[in-house]
Amino acid sequence: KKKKKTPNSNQTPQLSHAPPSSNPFPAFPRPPLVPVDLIRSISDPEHPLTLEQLNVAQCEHITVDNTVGRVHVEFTPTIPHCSMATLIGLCIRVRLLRSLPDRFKVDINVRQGTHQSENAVNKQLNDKERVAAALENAHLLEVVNQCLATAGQRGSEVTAVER
Amino acid sequence: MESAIQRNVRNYIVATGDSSQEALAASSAILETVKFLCFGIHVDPVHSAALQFAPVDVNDGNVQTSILVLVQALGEYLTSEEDSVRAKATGILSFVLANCQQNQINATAVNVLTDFFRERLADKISAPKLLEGLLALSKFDAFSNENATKTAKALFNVNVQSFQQAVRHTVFQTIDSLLKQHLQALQKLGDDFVFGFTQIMDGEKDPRNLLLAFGLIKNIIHEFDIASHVEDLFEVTFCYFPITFKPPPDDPYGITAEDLKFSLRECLAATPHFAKFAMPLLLEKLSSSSGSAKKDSMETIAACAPIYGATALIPYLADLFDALKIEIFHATDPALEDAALAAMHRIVATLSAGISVIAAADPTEKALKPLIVECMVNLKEPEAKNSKPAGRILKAAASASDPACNAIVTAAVPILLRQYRESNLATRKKAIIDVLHEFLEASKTLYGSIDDTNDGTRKRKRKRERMSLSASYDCRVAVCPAASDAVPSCSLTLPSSSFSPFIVPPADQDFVTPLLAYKDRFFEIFGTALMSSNEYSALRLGGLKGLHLMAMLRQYLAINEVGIVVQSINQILLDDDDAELRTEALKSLFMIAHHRPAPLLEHTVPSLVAQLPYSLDDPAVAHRTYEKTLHALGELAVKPALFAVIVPELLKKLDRVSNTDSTNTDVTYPQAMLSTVLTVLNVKSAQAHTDIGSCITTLVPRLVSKLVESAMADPEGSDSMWGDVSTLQITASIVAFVLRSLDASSQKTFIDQLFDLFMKGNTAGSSLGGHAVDAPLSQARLTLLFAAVVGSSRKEVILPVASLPEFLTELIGLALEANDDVQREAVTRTVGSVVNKWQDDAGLTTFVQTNVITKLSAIMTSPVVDDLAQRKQSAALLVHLWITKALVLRTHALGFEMTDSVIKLFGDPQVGKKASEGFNVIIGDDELVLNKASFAVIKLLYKQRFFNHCLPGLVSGFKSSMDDVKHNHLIALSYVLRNIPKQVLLNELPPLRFETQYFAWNHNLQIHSSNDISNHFIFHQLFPLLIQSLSLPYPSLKIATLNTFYMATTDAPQVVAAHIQTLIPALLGLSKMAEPNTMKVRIAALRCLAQYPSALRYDILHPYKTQVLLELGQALDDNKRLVRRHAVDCRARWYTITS
Repeated sequence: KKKKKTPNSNQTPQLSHAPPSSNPFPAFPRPPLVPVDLIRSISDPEHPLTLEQLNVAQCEHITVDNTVGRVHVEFTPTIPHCSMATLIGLCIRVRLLRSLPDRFKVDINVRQGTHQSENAVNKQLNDKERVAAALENAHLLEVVNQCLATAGQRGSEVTAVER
Repeated sequence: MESAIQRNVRNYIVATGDSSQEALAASSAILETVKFLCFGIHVDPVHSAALQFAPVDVNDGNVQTSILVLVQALGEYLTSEEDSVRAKATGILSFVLANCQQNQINATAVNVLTDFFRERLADKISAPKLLEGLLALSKFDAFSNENATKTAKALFNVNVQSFQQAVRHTVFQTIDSLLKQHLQALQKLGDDFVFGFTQIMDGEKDPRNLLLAFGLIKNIIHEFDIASHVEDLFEVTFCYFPITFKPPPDDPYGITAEDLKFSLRECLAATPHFAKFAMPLLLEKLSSSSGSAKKDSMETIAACAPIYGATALIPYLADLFDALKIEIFHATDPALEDAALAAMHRIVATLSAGISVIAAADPTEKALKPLIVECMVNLKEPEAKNSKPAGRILKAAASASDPACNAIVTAAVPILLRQYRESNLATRKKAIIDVLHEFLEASKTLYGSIDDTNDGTRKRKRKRERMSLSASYDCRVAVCPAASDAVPSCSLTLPSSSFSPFIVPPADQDFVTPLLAYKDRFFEIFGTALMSSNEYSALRLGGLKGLHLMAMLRQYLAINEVGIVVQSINQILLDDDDAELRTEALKSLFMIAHHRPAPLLEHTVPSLVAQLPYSLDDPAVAHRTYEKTLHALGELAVKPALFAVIVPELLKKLDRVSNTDSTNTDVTYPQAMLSTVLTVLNVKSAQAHTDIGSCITTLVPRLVSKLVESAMADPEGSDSMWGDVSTLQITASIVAFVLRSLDASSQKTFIDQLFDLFMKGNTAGSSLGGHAVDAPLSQARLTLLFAAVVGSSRKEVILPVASLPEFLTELIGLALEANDDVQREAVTRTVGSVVNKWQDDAGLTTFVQTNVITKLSAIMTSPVVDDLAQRKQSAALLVHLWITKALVLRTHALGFEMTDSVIKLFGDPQVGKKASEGFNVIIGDDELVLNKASFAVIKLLYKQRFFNHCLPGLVSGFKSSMDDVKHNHLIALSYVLRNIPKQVLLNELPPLRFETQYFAWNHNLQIHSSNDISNHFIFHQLFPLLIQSLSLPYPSLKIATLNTFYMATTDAPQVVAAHIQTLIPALLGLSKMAEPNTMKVRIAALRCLAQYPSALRYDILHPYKTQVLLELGQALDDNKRLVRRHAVDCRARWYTITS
């Protein structure tokens, strides 16, 4: 079994904080969204841990623009040659597809310089056709659904561990 | 002539088997004869049972003679050549022996019988019966020591394991009985007995026998010199470890794996001799892959350590600690981790207990050294993953003994303190503080907490527990009382396992914690951490907890230092807004108040009270900053010591506020003060505090006189504070709470005074006209106070009125004529309460039938001509409803009759809607009166009776009524659904019967009986009704209905499936952000929908999947965060529907 480097947990980011909302039109009551909460508890395909626990998804690498409807997510694979990067990205993509209103356009990228085949992964993740095709694959869909099964916990599992 | 015994014996032997009817009759006849009859007198066995209670004419030797005759009668059979006859004859003899009066058989007879039974044990066929006989004999008074030794020897020659379970059980029981009564004689057998027993037990597999055998082993180990057979004993015992027993699903004996584990563990921990055999094996089992085996090993090690002693443990220490450390650092299961920590704790405790035994250097320190070193390595990076388990290990070890604590504290604390000084990172500081907490906790476990200073309880407790630890060889070991059981603890403690994991040296009273040296440093660290307002709150919470733990330690802080802690925590309550911090601060103060109320009285209470504004013009009033202060005071006032101070202080403040002239007419602030008092009383009465009653002489008169004075001085109720209805309501509730806590005679005194005030009107010369129709408004409203008092009276309190019917008639008349809503509501509540507690049932029935029903229905059904008539009509309805409620609560037949007349009113376009809303009055719970706390007569299951009674009427009424009043039935139905317990409704949904009812429903079959089939049938009809009721414009009713659907989904999925076609569109409609759907409605609808994917089958849901996913997309963009959250969860679940 492949070993992954445990991320250095210096100054664990406080994921529960909402990202700064830049809504300049308070009269138009579009609520600030919290996509971090949506993805933090997705399970890693290989570990019994969540993306938050592995520091794959981090609060400060997610930006939301509520006015134009754009969400940008950057995630950090645990190691530069992680073969699961695409799958993790796909999970995030599917979760946001299912959980965000249609008006949002979502970009998902590997954080710059954290993966060997960064460009290939990015391209694959942001290609509508290829994402749709991937989800046609019943086996793949099952794996994705499995990873997403824990997504509803929204970080509650982390606080539960801290006794 | 043949004797009765001879005849019966013959009957018995001739009968087939030994459990046929004839055989049983004969054997009981024999028994009766032996027990009660002088030889030769014949008594019909059928009547002999009656003799048991008659004084029996027993001259000495009666039973004995009878037995002799029995033996003679059995003579030839007992020695018969035929196996079955012999066994049967033995059986009847054993049976008689087991059941006769055992004290009447003399020694000679017992000797003869014992020898007879004993010598024949080799007879394999009769042996089971013989053993039963021996078991019976062993309990005889005349059974001598000699008999005991002989019997034991004979038993050891029997090949016990070749018999069935029941027989083996008899053997163990016999040995048990012998050990209990003839221990000293058996002890002389010495090795033979020990060895013999191991032979008997070897190979035993039945859990029932094992449970008994383990108990015997423990006994043998304690009472016999086992030195030469240690290994044999160990082998027959340890071979069962670890227990893997799983009881069969319907085990009638109720033996659990835990029972076996526990008794085996007691055996293993019974002697230090086992140590050299057990330790290597236990160590080996620690690395087992099975979690349960591992846990069992750790618990066994924990139990054995104090018995085996330090000498036995030392050779294995390194390996033990390594194995346990792995469990803690790489814990997969918290239960395992706790077990490992407990084991470690016990081992360390044992080491220290052995100091005087071992001449070598202090073993504790030596053994702990590598452990401390490793933990300190992990603590170098306090915020890393391993620091927490390292802290826990140190805590477990440090709490074990004084030397261990000293060693660990001296090694670890200075380093941690240095790290803290050198660190600027808040997260790191927080982590270090967390570790320091562990030391404080350990110190609390070891040296005691604040609550067991200077009282005898601790010593007494310890003594008792030491006695219970009789197994303990080392009497220096005692179990520490689990610290502060009585106090709700917010601190970290090890979850209780099957045994108490904490051991402390008995001399702990004389020791002081090594942490004493660091007191000032701790004050500084925790204090600054708490006050660092710009840091993140986890650090501040850590500081708070540290201070709190310091205050909770025994003999750690002087009272003035506790004062400093209290003041620091005070600052949070005074200045801080962080909700979590405030909650923790309050909790902490609350616990300190439990032990040391003085510092709180000195610092906290005055400073909080001072923070409350004095005048309504204070800007704090407008900003509502007082709310937090009041909340804090309210929480603290629950403690009796503080209650006595805080409540008067609040009242003083209230007086001052209401006396200070102000232009501000907003009375929220003074009312909030009163509400705080009310909340405190509420909590205190829920906890059954006894100091509420005393308020009747302090708080209550003050408030009542305030209200009365104000009402007299200001007839129109223009005083914004005391004339306000909410003020009145809060005060009435306060008075009700106080009154409920009084006994009947004190209640009576108060009620008499109140009647004087209201009915006779003698308040200092002037009259209070609360009960007159034309009373001034403010006085009329005071009837609410009257209602609260009368409604809270105990059943046995007799109201000071000449005649109840007259009193009620007067009240009803007042209710019908009253001009003010508050007055009317109050009077009707009084009427309801009096009717409910009326003890004379006949009088009540007559009164209601003659005076109430006809009179009220005349008004309710008369045509409405003008406003006055309409008002009178609603008033009559209100009275009717409250009386109905009073009667329904006591399941009085008239109550149901009156309910029916309410349902009839639904068809009336004028009053129908009000009548249907009245169902809330009937079945809903009222805060002030007619509830359990106010001593109302409430029959069990009254809600169920009500539900069953009115459901058919509502359903058929809905079907037959006109369109414009149809919804009235739905409204009533929703109120019923909202108020009945879930279980009542589920009784209407027996899932198994579904097929038949569904059939009936599909074919429009009418079933009109009241059995459960029709009930379920009704529920099926109910569903379309409920779905229709979702279109009514009442959010709260919608939520009630949706909750019913929610519950039905899990508990009666078939019913939901049958209506899915209408349900899904209805729910989707309600989930959208449109005008009539409030946030709660939207959430409730989404919650229902979210349940379907797991509760209903794929083929039922599939046709709706696309539509649901599409429409849920809208809810994802809801304005409310909570709704979006539910929408996301719901949608995610619908995505997972696959074939």
